[in-house]
Amino acid sequence: MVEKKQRDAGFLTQAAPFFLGLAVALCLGWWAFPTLLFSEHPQPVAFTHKSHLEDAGQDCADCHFFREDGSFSGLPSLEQCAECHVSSIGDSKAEEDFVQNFVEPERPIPWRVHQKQPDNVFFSHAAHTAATCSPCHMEYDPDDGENKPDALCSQCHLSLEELDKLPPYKENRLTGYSKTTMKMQQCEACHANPEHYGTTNANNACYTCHK
Amino acid sequence: MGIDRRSFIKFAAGAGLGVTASPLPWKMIDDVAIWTQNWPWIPSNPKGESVWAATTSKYCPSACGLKVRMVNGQAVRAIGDADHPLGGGLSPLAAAEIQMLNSPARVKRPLRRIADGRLEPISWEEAEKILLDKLGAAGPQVACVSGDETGSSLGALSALLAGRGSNQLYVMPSDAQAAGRAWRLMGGKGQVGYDLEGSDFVLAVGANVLESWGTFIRNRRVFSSSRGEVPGASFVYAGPVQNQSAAVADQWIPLRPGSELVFLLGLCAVLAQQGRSVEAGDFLSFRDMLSGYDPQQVNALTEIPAQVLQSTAAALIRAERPLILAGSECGYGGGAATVMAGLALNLLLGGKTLRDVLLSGPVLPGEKARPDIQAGDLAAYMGKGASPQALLFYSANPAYALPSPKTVREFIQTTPFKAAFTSFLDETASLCDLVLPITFSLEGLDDLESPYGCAKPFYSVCRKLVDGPAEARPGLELILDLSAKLGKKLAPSAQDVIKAKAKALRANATALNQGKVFEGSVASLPGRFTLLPEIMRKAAESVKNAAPTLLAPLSRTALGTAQSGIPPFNAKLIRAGELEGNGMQALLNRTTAYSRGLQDGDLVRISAGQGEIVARVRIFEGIVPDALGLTMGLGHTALDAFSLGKGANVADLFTPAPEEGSGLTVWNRVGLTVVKV
Repeated sequence: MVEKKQRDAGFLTQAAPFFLGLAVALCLGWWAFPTLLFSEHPQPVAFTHKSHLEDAGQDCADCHFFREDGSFSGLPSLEQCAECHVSSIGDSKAEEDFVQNFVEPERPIPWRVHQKQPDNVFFSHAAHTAATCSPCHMEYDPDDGENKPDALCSQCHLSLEELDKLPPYKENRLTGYSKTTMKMQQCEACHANPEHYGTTNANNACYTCHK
Repeated sequence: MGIDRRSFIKFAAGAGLGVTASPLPWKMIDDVAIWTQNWPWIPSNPKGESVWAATTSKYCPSACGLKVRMVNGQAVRAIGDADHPLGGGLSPLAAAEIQMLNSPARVKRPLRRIADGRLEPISWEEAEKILLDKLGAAGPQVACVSGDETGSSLGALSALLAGRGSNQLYVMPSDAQAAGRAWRLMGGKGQVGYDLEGSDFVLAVGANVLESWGTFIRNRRVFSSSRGEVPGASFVYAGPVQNQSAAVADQWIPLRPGSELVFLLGLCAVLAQQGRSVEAGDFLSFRDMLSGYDPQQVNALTEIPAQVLQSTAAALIRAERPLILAGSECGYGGGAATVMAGLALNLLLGGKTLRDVLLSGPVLPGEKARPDIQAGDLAAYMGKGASPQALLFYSANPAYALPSPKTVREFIQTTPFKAAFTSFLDETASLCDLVLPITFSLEGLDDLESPYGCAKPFYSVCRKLVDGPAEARPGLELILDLSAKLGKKLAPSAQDVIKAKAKALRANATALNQGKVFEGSVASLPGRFTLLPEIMRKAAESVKNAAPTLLAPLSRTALGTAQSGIPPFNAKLIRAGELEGNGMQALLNRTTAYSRGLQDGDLVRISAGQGEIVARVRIFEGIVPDALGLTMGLGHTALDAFSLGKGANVADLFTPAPEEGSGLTVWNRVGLTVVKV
């Protein structure tokens, strides 16, 4: 028995460096590396979707809408913001800063777009509208299964409508892209899905997205 | 516990397993792959609302209509404007127009030549002082060459020179110049126009009507509409090479280079024999002259089968509204006599599709009318040993495009002071003592009046749509400013010149400034013409002395203008038969090549006059016997990497000679010596 204990103790002692290396590498790979890979940046304006939706009574489509030519206004222009905020209408410091730093000098807001695609990807919102995708995807909601109007949008974009504070933008130090940018495999979840064939125009040819 | 070798290996093995079982290597591979696709030097489209601005291209010689997509004040893309009277499509130049705003060859600040021969940046104040001092010292001994013959800048330059006591303003040679001289000699008042839209049979002789001649985008639109379900006009092309026009026309009539005039006189002769006549005081002399050009004689002179001549004449007679377009393949140097013969043929057929397009005329004090400026002969001026004290170039590149560039370069270099107003550092600007940056198309207020070929008076204001380089100044504004500083105030601003021009044309200046174009009404043709048969006869005589091998230049609009070089966008449009690597290709048909002991792939030295080109033989059956085809637009020695070192400049081979009769300098029958290397 003593001899067996001595043998086990000897094995653990001998294997300790291996497990130490394993533990260090796992910590490095699963915690330190993902933390170090991304730098965090706040948005240039402390914007709150919640306040605009609940207090100002706005709708998503007031800012995020399709133009007459079919192109999508992903972000409101400074002129649109200035329609209300030509000067401060409240007493918040954030609004005061916004008016002072952007509206008055007519400086476009350099929003950090979480889902910004690389230049070699051509994504058209016009091809991914409720008309083409929602007959099926409106029924899907990952959280509560309800038929929410923004269900389709939030499959790619962060749901921000109930947040009082914008989440920080996490930028990949190597690639320069956002942490939450869609990857090709996410595109292919639909484009390469055989169930879509004949249902949508989700062609998976290279030239569909890469012009 | 010490760290021995065995422990370290165990640690490393554990670490290796741990790293492999973590996202680190796999994420790194993915991110590195994405990182390699980051090309920050490639401009990306700005995001924002698209606004379309209508304008007319100043870059494309066809003056095609453009709709420019603007996003956040930036020009992003140009498409053709189907509603524009000269539009309907997009030329390769207009397609590259926005890209050329960022060309590496742009001149972004004033440059002065210093003692060691380099050009160094200086301020506008210094540049203006040098220019005003030199122009002041030169007095009337100042000459100017303009590459813009449709803008108000041309008239402003003539007024500026008039203020200095000089009338030495020249435009770069062009088909418009040759046609202008022909039309004036024959009794026309304005500029000859051609009603393509109203024609049912178009015969283009020498004029590469669907590639580079006149308003070629409009010509293409007319051609395209004639190919619809309801057949429209027939198109016949007569010329030495199966070029873009010949390739799609209903018929290609092969002609030896330089025999266009005799071909046209042969057609005139057939019609005159059938009793056709023209209201012209010298028609009888003309008819007598034509007796020397019956189909058999034309066949003896040019090898054009008599049957072809007869059948072409019959087709013209059958047509209700035939139109003959005479010009040169390379767009300049074709001479006035060929155009005169083309006009005479039109008149023999009733002249229903000819138009007299009246121009606005001078609006500035001392300004010369455009036809009077076009009457000058730049090639003759630079070749006869003139000696101005100061030489100005406005958007013109004679050191590349004029015949015998070596002589032209010597002329420029020996002039005591020379300055270029230019958007690009081209061959001519590179020889100048002072280079002044002017805005390019879309960057500054400019205008465009009645380009050659249009059927009605046309006027368009080319608005400023985008910001140019910070130190580039709009050309017209600059000329007005210089003239005022030299003591002659021409107009308060460019906008005033445009208003005056609009008023002269009875156009609405407000609408013009909003992007609308003006089309005027057609003036009636002169009641009587003068045919001047002696000019045509003398010019046709030179066909008898044609060299054994003749140059057939091939124009390619995609390869840019002389001033801009090849747009980067269009370098990919250079075809295998035009360049091999950076080597020039010479097109010969099999009979011509074999008769000279040449085979496909042979390297040959081609020489004419002072010039010499080395090229590789390519057998091409789409070229007439005894002709050698070379693509134009290559062989730049300045500008940028997209133009430099590609092939050779065909203008090196052009040998200028005065056209017998009209006196205009021509280079339409260039005899070549071809030697296998």
